[in-house]
Amino acid sequence: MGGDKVSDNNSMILRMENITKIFPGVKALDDVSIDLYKGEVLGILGENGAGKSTLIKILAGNYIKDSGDIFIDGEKFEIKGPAEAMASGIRVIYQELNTINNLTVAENIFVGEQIIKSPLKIVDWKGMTKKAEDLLAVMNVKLDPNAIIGDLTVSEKQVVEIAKAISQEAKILVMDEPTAALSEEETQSLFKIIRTLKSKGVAVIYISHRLKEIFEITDRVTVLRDGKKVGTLKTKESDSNKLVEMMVGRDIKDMYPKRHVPIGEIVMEVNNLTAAGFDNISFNLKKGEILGIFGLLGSGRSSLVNALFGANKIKNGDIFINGKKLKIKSPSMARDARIGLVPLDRKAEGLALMMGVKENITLANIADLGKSFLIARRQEYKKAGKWVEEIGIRTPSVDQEVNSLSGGNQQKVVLAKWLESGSQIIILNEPTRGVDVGAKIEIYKLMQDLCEKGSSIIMISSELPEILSIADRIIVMSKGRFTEEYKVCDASEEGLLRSACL
Amino acid sequence: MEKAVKKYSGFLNFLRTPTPTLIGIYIVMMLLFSLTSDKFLTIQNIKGIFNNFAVFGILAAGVTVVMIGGGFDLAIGSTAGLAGIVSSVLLMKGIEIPTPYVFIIAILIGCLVGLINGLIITKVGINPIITTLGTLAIFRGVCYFWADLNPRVYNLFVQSIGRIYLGNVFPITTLYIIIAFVVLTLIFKFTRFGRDLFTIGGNETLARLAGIPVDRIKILSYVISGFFAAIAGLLLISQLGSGRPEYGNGAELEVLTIVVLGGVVVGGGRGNYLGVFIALMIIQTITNGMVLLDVPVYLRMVVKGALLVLVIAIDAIRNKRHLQLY
Repeated sequence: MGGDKVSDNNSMILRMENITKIFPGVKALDDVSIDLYKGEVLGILGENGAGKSTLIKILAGNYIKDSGDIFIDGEKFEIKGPAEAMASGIRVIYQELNTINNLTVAENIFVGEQIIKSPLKIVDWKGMTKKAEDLLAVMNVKLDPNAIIGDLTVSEKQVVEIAKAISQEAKILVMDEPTAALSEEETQSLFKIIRTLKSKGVAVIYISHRLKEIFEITDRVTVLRDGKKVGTLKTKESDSNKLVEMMVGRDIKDMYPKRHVPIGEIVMEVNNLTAAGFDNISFNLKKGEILGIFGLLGSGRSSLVNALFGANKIKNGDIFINGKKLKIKSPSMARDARIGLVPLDRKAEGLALMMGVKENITLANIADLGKSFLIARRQEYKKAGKWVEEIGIRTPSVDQEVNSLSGGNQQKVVLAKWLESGSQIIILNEPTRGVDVGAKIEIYKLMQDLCEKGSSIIMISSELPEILSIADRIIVMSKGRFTEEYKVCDASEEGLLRSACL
Repeated sequence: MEKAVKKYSGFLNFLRTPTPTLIGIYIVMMLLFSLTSDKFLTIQNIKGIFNNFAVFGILAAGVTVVMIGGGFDLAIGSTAGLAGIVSSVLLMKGIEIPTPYVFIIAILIGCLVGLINGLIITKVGINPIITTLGTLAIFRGVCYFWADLNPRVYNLFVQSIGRIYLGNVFPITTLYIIIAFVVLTLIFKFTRFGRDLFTIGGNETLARLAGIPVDRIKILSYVISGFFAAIAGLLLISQLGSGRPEYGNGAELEVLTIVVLGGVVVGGGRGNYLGVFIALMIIQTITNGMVLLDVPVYLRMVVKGALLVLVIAIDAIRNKRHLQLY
């Protein structure tokens, strides 16, 4: 790709040329080149396994490239480890934040780099607080340097990480899916910070699955697929269809396939439900329906679905399943009432990563495998195999450790677990988080297949285009309260956001 | 990149455990000792090695169950001591409760200790290390109530359970260990309890959200550990011919070394009895071989400790390379 020039006369700060990285049996990166100019935001887009993370880890010094060259400010530079990457001004903010919860904002910003008063070599607390204040002011954020990190929201923690990066004079800031845990509003404030940094000449590499953000914040975008570079485009000159096509390698006309499923009678009715995190919520769910729940971080949406699933103790209110009043006190009662939960954090709450696909599929319903205390292993293979085929889990075998599957396939395994348990009401908490575009579309299709077969779905999502396209009805929560209900035909991004801030 | 993902069969999964490394170390060790000491490869010596690990082996059987479920049990040594001293007191002249009842009482004591540990850990929610560190001290203290009795075990049947050699060579205690390990392996592989235990050790939050009765299974794992500790206590008084309140003192550390060396992951979810068995033989062979070679006691400790760190390090490095793929 020779023509990747940026129109204005900014100088090139980084060039990674013909980078190749081979892992045993896998060519993770195959002759990939990118370049980055001062004061620009370069998006890197690609499905899981496309090589984004490998590329970033090479830049950060966590992996050593097998071949290729890296130039910083025009000079060839060998990155042999994280220390060299740091010394040349490269800072990476990973998806998993590395803040220390017991320390204050200022302490976190200067961790390992405390400001020392010279004669006695003691920590200069006042100076540190002051400098932290200055840094936060540069980013236009209001945050108390003496606040304890553990009390902050995810987005505030991220701000602290960014402050840490720029306190050490970052020339190149890499952000790996920074908005995965952020609400729309928090994303906007993150973008504000990125724009401020940009204007100060920092070059940003922005990795994301979310096309909307790529369009909003990046100047150029490089698309990777299967370890190869597909191309680099100016963001202004591209559109989402084109980018998706480059990522997936096939033409996708519609990101959000919506079929019309006839909606039946009420299967779940929730009256004045109150528990930790939310107050007095009422709604109903009908057969074949996809009910969306929208709200910002802290709106109580996760607490609500956890309560429906028996994982958050209900203080008040009633739940009726198929007209029958039911006290759901534990996840096993929810399971027996044919409710399934695909949780927010699939690795921490949805999967036993060290176990195989088949064990993960059958673990909630192992009682059904033979009547005795023994496991009917042949039956287990058959059942697991059936789901692998039916919902298209791509795995070499049902014995494969789920750890080694892609995010989308892992999510399908979690879903298969509840299908195997015969769940009729399936609650999905951010089902497509950290899942690539191709798998997203498959998950949407799967959800609609389930509805066609008579299941009902409750879906929490903070991705507006997703919830607006997939849900039939949307209820909005804010600060633990119900604020508004929309039929999807009456809903708009602005409307939902407004209701979510009420 | 799905095509590139490696496929794991049962055998490949086995290769990824530390067990092959252990087998290699064991073979090298056997060669080394048999070349350097002519007393090593004698039937008498091998008999001794096998008989000496009886108590540790039986304790390891139970601790492995607890650890695979993500727990920890430091109370095994004092549980064995308690079951041992109580049984030996009950067998004393003048009391002479029938042997089967003594066995039942000993096992009930073991299971009760396990139940107490399990209840405190799951229902009160105290960290298992702290809980069992506490009960370790409590039950060791209880043992000393009988300290002045110095009960000797004259009951021939009790003496025989830890001392018989099948065909005059193979110690019956090793058979106990093999039976226990095989039965537990089958339980792990083929029962719901086994599967649920591995799920809990692998990801407890997930297990709870999947409706698995987590508390019940964890409590049961401690009861199983207490059960084996009681049997170990009976073997102790059988082999030593008396009951002493300090029996089993410090056994927990030796057993933990064996279990961890055998590839049972601290934190749960992974482990197998083949590895534990080989680790058991390695530790006992080292002790024995170094005695024959006249290696000073402190150096034996150094070697055991170094071996533990070495094997775990090899495992960590192999797993790191595996994980780097993704």
